[in-house]
Amino acid sequence: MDWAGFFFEVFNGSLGMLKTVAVILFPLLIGIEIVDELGLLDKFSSLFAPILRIFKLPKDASLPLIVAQVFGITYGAGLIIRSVEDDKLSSSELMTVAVFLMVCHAVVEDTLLFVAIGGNGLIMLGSRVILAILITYLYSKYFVNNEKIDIEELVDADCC
Amino acid sequence: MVEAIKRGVKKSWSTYLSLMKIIIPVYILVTFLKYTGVIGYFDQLFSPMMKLVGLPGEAALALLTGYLMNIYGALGVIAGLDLGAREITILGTMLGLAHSLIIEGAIIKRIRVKLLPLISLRIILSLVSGIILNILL
Repeated sequence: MDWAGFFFEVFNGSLGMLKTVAVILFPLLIGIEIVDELGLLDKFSSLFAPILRIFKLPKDASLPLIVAQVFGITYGAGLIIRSVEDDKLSSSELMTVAVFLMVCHAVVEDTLLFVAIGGNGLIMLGSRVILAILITYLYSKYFVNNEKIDIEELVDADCC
Repeated sequence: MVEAIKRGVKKSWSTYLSLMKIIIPVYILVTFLKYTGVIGYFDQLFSPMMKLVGLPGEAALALLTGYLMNIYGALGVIAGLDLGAREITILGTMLGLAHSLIIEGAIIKRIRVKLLPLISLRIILSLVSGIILNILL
């Protein structure tokens, strides 16, 4: 075995990885803390408004969704548990949120890490988000019992 | 604001350390396996299957590491293999859709939803996305 080559590659490669991950992780996590501090997360959560409408989810679902994108699924799940305990989400809505989140969470960090080692970010991010929306739409359309959704639609129709 | 930045630096540093404890050893191990020729056998074994998603057989190691362990382990594996931009894009998409299945499964189970269908869904989506990207790219 070519030990010199091995050590040379391991040394260079390790330094490369140390740098690559640092360049992504530090700005991202510090940026997230600042965004959180400025209270911008609530504003960002309006980004999810059109998506929530497709899935027929209440507005209360937007915060767990955005938190899971920014802080990862652990924090997202924590918020979801609280939403359920506060009766803001029903069990069928919970399942819809879970389907979306299992497919699509922490997308910024994951994508940037693969971009850093040479991947195409637009393709990776795009396919993940599109698939998540498509699958959750199909799920909310065909697997969630329609009775409750009909009532919500009626309420919407009355108010507008 | 200063507090937020301090908090961010602290969080980044601890996250960075814990990630590096995964990425670097995995990377060194994979490079070692590459130099000893073990990756070569692995490559031949998985080559027919991985052709479907347009990846070399050795990339199966990155997929398995990502599915069972996490994305960071997979990053270490990918760094050790010699893959091009197209391969990394496909792998990144597949791993983004399905990773850390065991740990994230445990997290998602806490919100009392059906686990097995969700995990199967992720693996299926991951494989389908790989096949589609292989055709498109």
